[in-house]
Amino acid sequence: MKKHLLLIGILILSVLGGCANATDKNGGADSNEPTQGGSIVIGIPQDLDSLDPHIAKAAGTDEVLFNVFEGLVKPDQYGKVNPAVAESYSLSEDSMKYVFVLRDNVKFHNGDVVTTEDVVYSLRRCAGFEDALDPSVTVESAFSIIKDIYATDNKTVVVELTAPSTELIYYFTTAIIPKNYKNQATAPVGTGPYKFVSYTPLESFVVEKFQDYYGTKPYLDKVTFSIYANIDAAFLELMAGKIDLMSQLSSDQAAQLTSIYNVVYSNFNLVQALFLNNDFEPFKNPDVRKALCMAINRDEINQMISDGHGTIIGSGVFPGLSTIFAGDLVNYYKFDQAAAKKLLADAGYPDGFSFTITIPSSYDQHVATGEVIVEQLKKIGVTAKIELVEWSAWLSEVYSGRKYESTIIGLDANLAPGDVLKRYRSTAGNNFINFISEEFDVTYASALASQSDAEKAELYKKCQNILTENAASVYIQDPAQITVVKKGLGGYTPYPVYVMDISKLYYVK
Amino acid sequence: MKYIGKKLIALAITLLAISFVTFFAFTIIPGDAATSIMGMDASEEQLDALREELGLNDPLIVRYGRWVKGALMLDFGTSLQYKTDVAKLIGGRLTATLGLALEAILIILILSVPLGIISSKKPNGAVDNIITVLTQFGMAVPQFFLGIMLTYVFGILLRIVNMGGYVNPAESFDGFLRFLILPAITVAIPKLSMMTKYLRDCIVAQKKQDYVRTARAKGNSEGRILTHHVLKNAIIPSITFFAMIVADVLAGSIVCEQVFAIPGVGRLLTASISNRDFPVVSAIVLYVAVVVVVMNTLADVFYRVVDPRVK
Repeated sequence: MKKHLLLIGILILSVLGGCANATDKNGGADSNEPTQGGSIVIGIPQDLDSLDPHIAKAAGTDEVLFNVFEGLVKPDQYGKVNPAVAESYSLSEDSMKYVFVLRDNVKFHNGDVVTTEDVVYSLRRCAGFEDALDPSVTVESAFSIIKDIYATDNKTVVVELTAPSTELIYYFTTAIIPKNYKNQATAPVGTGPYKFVSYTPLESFVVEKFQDYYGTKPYLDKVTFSIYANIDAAFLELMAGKIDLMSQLSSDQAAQLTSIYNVVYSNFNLVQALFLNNDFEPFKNPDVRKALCMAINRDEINQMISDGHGTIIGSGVFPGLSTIFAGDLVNYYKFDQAAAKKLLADAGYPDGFSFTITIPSSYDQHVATGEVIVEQLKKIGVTAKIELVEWSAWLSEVYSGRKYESTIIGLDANLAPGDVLKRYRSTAGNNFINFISEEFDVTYASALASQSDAEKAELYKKCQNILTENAASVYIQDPAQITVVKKGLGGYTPYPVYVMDISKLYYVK
Repeated sequence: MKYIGKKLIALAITLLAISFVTFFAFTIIPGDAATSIMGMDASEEQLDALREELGLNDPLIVRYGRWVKGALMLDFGTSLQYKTDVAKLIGGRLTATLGLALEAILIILILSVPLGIISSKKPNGAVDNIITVLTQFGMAVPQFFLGIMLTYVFGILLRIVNMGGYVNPAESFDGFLRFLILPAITVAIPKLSMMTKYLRDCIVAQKKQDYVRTARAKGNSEGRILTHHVLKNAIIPSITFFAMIVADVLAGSIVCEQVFAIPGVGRLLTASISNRDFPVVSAIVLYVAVVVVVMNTLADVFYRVVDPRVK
C-alpha cells in the first residue's frame, strides 16, 4: 500500500510538477492548456482572524490575503522577492538606505491609483509610527531599525535605517493599503490580482478577478474560500467533490480521495520540534536534552504522521530556506536508544524521569507526533505525559508565559534568512524555550550585520550548529503539506512560505 | 397575570446568575481575547495596549456591570474577534439554527406520536420489540457518527441527497430546506427515539388504570378508549418532555453543526469560546437560557389549558 501510494505520489508530482523545487513555469502541465474563466471553491480549515492585513496574524489568514494584497515586493515560489507595487528598488552601499521606485499606474481595487502617500502610510503603520494607532495593528519588529520613511517625489519612497540590514527587503512584502480608507477590517482594498467580494464569519471569504491588475492576469473569475472547523468537517464534502482544492490533509484522508483528486506533496515550511523548556529541571542539563535527541526516532514519526513525505531536520531552520539551511546537521544525533540511556544515567537519571508535553489540541499533527514520542521515550525509561490545551491557553501559558515543561509545535518564519533564528537570542521576547548562549548571540548579531551573502550563510549555519550541539530542543521535521487538487484543475504552485497563490490556478482545456 | 409576573422574575434571576457564571468562568480559564487576537508574536506592551482598548483591564465587577447595563438595553456589544455587532452576528446565524430546529421538530412530531401509539398497542409484542430495539439504538448512537453515516449512505453511496455546502435561504429557500434534511434527521433521531419511548411508556401505564377497565366494561371500542381517554392523560407528561426536546433543539446543535458545516449558533459558540470572545459567548448563553426558560413556561401554561386541575 505504501509503495503504491508513493508511486501515485511520484506520478502526480511529475504530472503536476507541484513540488516545491519543480522548475517548470506552468506547473509542468504542458499538454494541459489553461483556459480563462471559471470559479472554484477552496476549503480552509480555520477562520480568518482579520481582513485588515496589518492586523491579521494567523498564518492561515495571510495565506488567503496574499491574493488580495501586495507589498512593494512580493515573494515567488522559489523563495525570492520580486518587485510588485515597486517597479525597482536599490540598497545604498552601506546598507542603511532603501530606495523604492513605484510602478506606474498600479490601481487599488477601488479604482484609485497607488501614490507615494499610500506607500509611506502603509509602511509607517506597520513600523508603529502612526499616531492614534489601533493597538491590534501588528508592529513588525524587524522595522524597529527604521529611522524614517518619506517620499522624495511622486514616484520614489526612501526608507532610512539606524543600523545596516540587507535582510529588511523581505519584510517589504507587507501590504500596501490606501491611506484614506477606513474599512479595511470589513471590506478590504488592496492591489492584488483578486479583489474582495464578501466575507461571512465562519462561512466563506469570496474574491473575484481584478480586471485592472497590472501584472499577469489570473485565469479564474471567482474563488470562494469555504471555512470549515477542521479537515474532518470538510471531509464529506471533499468526498462528494464539492471542494476543488484543500491543503493540510493527512495521508490517510488524501488516500481516500484519489478517484476525483490529484494529491500534491510539498513542504509545510515549518520547524516542527519537541521544544524543551531549558529552564525546567531535567532539561537544564544539556546531556538530558541530548539523550532525548538520540532517543527519538524522527524517521518513524515521519512515516507515521506523513507517510514519509516530511523532511527530517536537525536544527532550527526548515529546508525551504535553502541558502542558510545546514543539511549536515540532520544526522548529528543518530537514533540510538542504548547510548541515550547511558547518557541519561551519566547525567544522574539512571531510572529516567517524567515530564509533560503540552500540545494545542487543534493541531492533530502535533498531537499524533506527541503520541509517537511518548511511546519512543518509554524505551529509555522516560515517562512523558501529553496534556492537551486550547490554542488560546497555549499562547498565554506556554508561549508567552513560558510555564511549561515541553511542547510540540511548528514554527513558521518570514523569508528573511535571519527571521527563523532570531527567537533563540538570549534576550528575545519570543525565546520561549529559554535558550541562553552567548556564542549564539554574538554569531547571530554578526550574521545579521554581514554584507556578504556567503559570509552571512556561513554564520547562520554556525548558529544552527550551536543550537544542535547544545540540543536546544528535539528538532523533528518539516512536515509534509498534503494538498488535494480536483482533477481538471492545473497550476497549483506550492511556495516556501505559507501562501495559497490562486492567480496561477486554471481549468485545463 | 400574577403567574406570568412570577415567571418573569424567575427568568430575570436565572439569566443574571447564568451570565455571572459565564463571566466568571472566562476570567479563570487561561488566555484572553488579547492573546487570541495578537497571536504568537505580540509583545507585552502591545498586549497591554490592546487589553486597555478592549476594556479587559478593568476589574471583573466593573466589566460585568457594564455588560449588564448594555444587555438591559438589548445592546450586547461588539464582537472582539469579528468587530461587528454581536446581535447582528448571532442574528445572521439564527436562520440556519432555526431552520434546522424546525425541520427536526417536525420530524420528531410526525414520527414519534404514531410510533409511540403503535408500539403501545401490544406491549412486548413483536412490533413493540422491534420499535424498542430501534429506539434504544437511536438513543445510543453518538450524533457525530450518525451524521457521518447518514451522509455517507445517502449523500455519497446512494446520491439521493445532494451533498454540498450550506445554502443561504436568501439565494434558494428550497435548496436551504433540502440541505437541512440530513442534519435535521441526525438531530431528530435521538430525540425522536426518546419521545417515542416516553409516549409508549405513558400510554402503557395509563392502559393499566382502573378508568380504562371501566371504559372497556361500558363497551367502548379500543380505538375510542385510546383517543378519548388514554391519549388525553398520556399526553400531559409528554408535553413537558417535548418542551425540553424543543428547547434543546432550538439551542443549536454543536455537534451536528460541526459535522455538516452548518454556519449556525452552535459553531459560532465553539469558535467564540476558543477566541475568548466574551460578548458573543455571553449573548449566546443568554439566548439558550431564554429558550429553555420560555419553553418550560410554555409547557406549564399548556398544561393548565389541557388539565384545569393543575394549579
